[in-house]
Amino acid sequence: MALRIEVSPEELEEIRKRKGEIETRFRDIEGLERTLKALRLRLLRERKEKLERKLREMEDHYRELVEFEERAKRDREFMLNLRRELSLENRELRKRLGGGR
Amino acid sequence: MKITVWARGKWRKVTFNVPDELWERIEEVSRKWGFRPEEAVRIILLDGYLSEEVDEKEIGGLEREIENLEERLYELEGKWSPLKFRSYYSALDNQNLAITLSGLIAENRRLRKMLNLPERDFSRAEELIHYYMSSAFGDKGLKGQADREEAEGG
Repeated sequence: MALRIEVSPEELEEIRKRKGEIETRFRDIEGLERTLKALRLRLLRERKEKLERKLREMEDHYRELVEFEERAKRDREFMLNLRRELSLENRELRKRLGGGR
Repeated sequence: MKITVWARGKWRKVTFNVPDELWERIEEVSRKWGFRPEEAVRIILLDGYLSEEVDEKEIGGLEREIENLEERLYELEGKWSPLKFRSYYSALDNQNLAITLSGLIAENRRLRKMLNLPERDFSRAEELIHYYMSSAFGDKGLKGQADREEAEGG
């Protein structure tokens, strides 16, 4: 079994210098587990914050849409009534002007 | 497990021989905490270990909170898409109505002037006409948003 890991030239240099230290780390499974746990916690915290932010944004947008929908309904009713009223009034005014259209 | 570390443009590689039993433990621990073994190897090679002790209960708690947030988000997305679609068409309907109304108001003004009648107050209607002809469909409005999404999608 073999594994190939690519690193940058600077990183390779650093690894070469610290080979002994790294070999000790390979054997320290407890240290690895402690580190992975800590990293997992950081990742979960970041994910949680991201989700909370997204949820807040979506809730705000959703609320805006609900408000718009209610407003549009009220406005539509007002405009429909005015259209009906003006159609009748304009017809009446045209008659008074002597027939017209 | 033979681990070969290399870099572009460098002839000399660094090799580590990890006993199979140890490698199995590395794989096991990595997967347990949601990492790929290659990621664990990178940590071993480059980052070193952290000294911070973490409470496993906190991890479990966070995982449950994330699950809950994802569910809420999924649920909201389900309600949000049809509402957005409906709102867009409500705005479009009102825009058509505003165009008709605008014509009727102009006619009413003309007729009243010809008959020497006082002008009616159309301030609220004019406000709505302006809103549905511009604001609701401006860059920040519903149509602007829908157009942007269409352009991004296409």
